[in-house]
Amino acid sequence: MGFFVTLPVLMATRDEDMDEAAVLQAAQRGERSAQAQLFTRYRDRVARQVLRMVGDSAAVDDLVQEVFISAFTALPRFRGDAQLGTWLYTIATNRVRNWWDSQRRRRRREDVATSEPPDEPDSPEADLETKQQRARFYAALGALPDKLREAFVARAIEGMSLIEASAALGTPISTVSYRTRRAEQELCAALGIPWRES
Amino acid sequence: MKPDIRPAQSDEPAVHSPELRRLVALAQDRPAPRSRLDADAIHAAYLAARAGQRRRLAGLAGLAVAAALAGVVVSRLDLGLSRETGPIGHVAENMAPGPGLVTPVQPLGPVLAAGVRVVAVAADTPSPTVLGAWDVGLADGRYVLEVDEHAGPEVLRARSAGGTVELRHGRVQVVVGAARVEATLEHGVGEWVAQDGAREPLMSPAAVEPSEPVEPSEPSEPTAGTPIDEPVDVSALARRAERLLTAGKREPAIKLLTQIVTTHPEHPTARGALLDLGPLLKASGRTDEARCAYRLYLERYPGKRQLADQVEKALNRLGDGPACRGLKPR
Repeated sequence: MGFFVTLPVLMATRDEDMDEAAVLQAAQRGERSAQAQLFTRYRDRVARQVLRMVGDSAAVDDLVQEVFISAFTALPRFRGDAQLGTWLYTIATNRVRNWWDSQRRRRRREDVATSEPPDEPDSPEADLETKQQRARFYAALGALPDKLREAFVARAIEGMSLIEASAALGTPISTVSYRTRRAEQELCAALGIPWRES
Repeated sequence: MKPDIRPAQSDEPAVHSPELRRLVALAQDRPAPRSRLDADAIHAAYLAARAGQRRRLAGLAGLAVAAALAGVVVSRLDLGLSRETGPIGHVAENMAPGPGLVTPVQPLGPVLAAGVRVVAVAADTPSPTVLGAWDVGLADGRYVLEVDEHAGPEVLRARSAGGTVELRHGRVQVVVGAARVEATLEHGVGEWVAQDGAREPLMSPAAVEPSEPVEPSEPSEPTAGTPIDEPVDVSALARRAERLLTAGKREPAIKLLTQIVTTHPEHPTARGALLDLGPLLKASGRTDEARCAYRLYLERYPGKRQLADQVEKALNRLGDGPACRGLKPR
């Protein structure tokens, strides 16, 4: 069991903290330019998280938009107990969970998550084999049960510690640990990789 | 698959398999997806959402005034309607024509779907505002929501200033206060949706065991005040605390965790319970007690593998405070 709720996840330097505090206060007052700065600063991070969790690139923009609208609407109530990055990660997680629920209700989630590995923007370094391996991995990740996937994404891909993931996902530490191990076992099985502890 | 249950360790790797670790590294390298969003579009959408929120609030207030006025008019006309008007679930019945009425009275606004009832149960509680067949607004007061098992595929949404209770079926008691909402599921299936979209399942006091085991179940020593023939199942206490946490019921969870830590310190669940207590007490504004929880943790579990280094950081962030005797500040 473990349920840390206030520890920071995404560390920033002291200067960034001070800068961010000023921007945050302006954004809390609804200032357009401050909101734009926060959006620019966190957009890619939120988009990556959303894509890793939903596995459907077509859904990313809508969800990212929802995340930032929710965040800006709730910003006046943000008290700074957590880092802004952690707070946004939690909002994004909640939005994705709602998306999963709606997809399940429409009985489409399985198709979306497993049949379409996310497309990648063309980049010179992305050779075919790398793309294929990544696509296989994302397809296997998309086929995981939602709770296992969110734990694995937070711990393995986002690189959070157990405590950070517990705080960001609002899930007890031992549950995050258990779900991450289960996710790894299922991923190994799906990808034909022998599961063993290093 | 048999659950792989073991205590979490601070230095446990997220990925054990080297082959999978290589694929994870590839996934980490993947560039952010292309986006058509820009800051101006987000700001415009934010303004639209905020305007919509204000309109909804104004609409709720307007509907409440209209409902109150309609109530006054109907009561004065004495149309033979039931004198027991009140529960919103009876709106449709109340609108049935009375004995001397030639033209049927049409409902003045939306009515709830069949099999759905929302009742104001305290004398000073205003009637809920019906926004749609599955949608009501609640003001401050005490309410009971009921949805019959086969009422339909929809979910009843009871909106209040603090958030929304969604009830699929069953019965929920809701108390709306100025700053908080308490929802107690008597039976059935429902969720709490906070303003930021966070969802938590509503838990009944007699909730079933979690589907995913968290800690191994072990018999425990009976405690003082507990009859010898009724040993306390500490693992069950820990699971109950976890369910309360999941349902957002922090204070009762703190009580249970404190009980585990103070009366069963040798039990395997005690470390996790103490680990939880610090942040939970801090989140409740009980900083001195949180500091004591962290100190007690470091006293009992000083090893790095037991997350002591991270607990120490959390303790340092709280700053200085009074000395402690166990979990209590002196």
